[in-house]
Amino acid sequence: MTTPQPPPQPLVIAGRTFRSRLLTGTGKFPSPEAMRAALEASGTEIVTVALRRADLSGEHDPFADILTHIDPARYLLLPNTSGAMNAAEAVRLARLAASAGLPKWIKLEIHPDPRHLLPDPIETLLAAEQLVKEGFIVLPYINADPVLAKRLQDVGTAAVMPLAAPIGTNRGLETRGQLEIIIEQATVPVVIDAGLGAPSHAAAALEMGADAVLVNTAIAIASDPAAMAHAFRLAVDAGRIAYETGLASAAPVGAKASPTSPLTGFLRPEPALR
Amino acid sequence: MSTDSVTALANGTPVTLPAGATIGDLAAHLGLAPKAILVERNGEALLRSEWPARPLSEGDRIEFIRMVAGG
Repeated sequence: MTTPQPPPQPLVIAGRTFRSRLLTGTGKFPSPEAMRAALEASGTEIVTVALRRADLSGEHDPFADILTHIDPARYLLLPNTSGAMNAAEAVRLARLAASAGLPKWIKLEIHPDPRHLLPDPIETLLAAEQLVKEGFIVLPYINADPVLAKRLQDVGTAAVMPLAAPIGTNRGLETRGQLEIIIEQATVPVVIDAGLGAPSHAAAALEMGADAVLVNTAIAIASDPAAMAHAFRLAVDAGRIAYETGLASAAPVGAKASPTSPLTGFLRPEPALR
Repeated sequence: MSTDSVTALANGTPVTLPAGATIGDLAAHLGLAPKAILVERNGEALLRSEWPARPLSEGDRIEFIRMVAGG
């Protein structure tokens, strides 16, 4: 007989177990040192990176080689396909990422519109199908579309990553109603990605049953990224523990309050003795 | 086209090296450390274990890519 584990339970994606339910991005940090400290404080085990044409001008870019700052033995690197405008480009980027010899995990993102960075659902589904066939562990970044999420899990993606709000907007769970449907239907982990601006947003995402969240901007642009990463870590744990424990249901607006303390009788005489 | 040299496009820029040069030679010529880069030849990703020794052909389109910060 096994002893039941106290919450939070670990996250399992494609058969791999993670203690942390907070995935982090590596963009927008003020320095590699700040990034490293934030990753450490976040407790994260999955870290996204991007691919970019090498600059041959010889100018020094402190972030040019991310692998000097992130140890792939410690963190699972999740390369993204950012920059891809269609399925073919995304597949090409995924194959390049895989040529590094790291585990074949890919965050599939195809957003042709640079203004809102909203993902293209049709190209994403096409690319996901192809990459799954090629043996990739595919985590697609999508709009909060329950039908698309279902189609993607049906073609074999390892998770779905619906957005809370557009990338970098910090507006929180704007797509809440749709996310609830996605979570209810999901047979793969749901990682809420993009738009989470505050630890309270992350906690709310986990409370509603999201399996994990991915946070980048809100941590990277904080005045102290490591402190903010720590705050997100606590919020994610709090939200998950609350979800596993079962939240008390909310009473309807206008319902009578229900006291949590005895309404002590000794301060005023009992009516009968007056 | 001369037979004692080979010209390839490196990230869109023509580079001419002595005939028989490899992609590894091209990377070295451009000051790129092999460990830090990924390579595509004519649109096809090449494994890290195989590209440095791969000979360049005239007109090859070579892309040198880095893993960088991103969300």
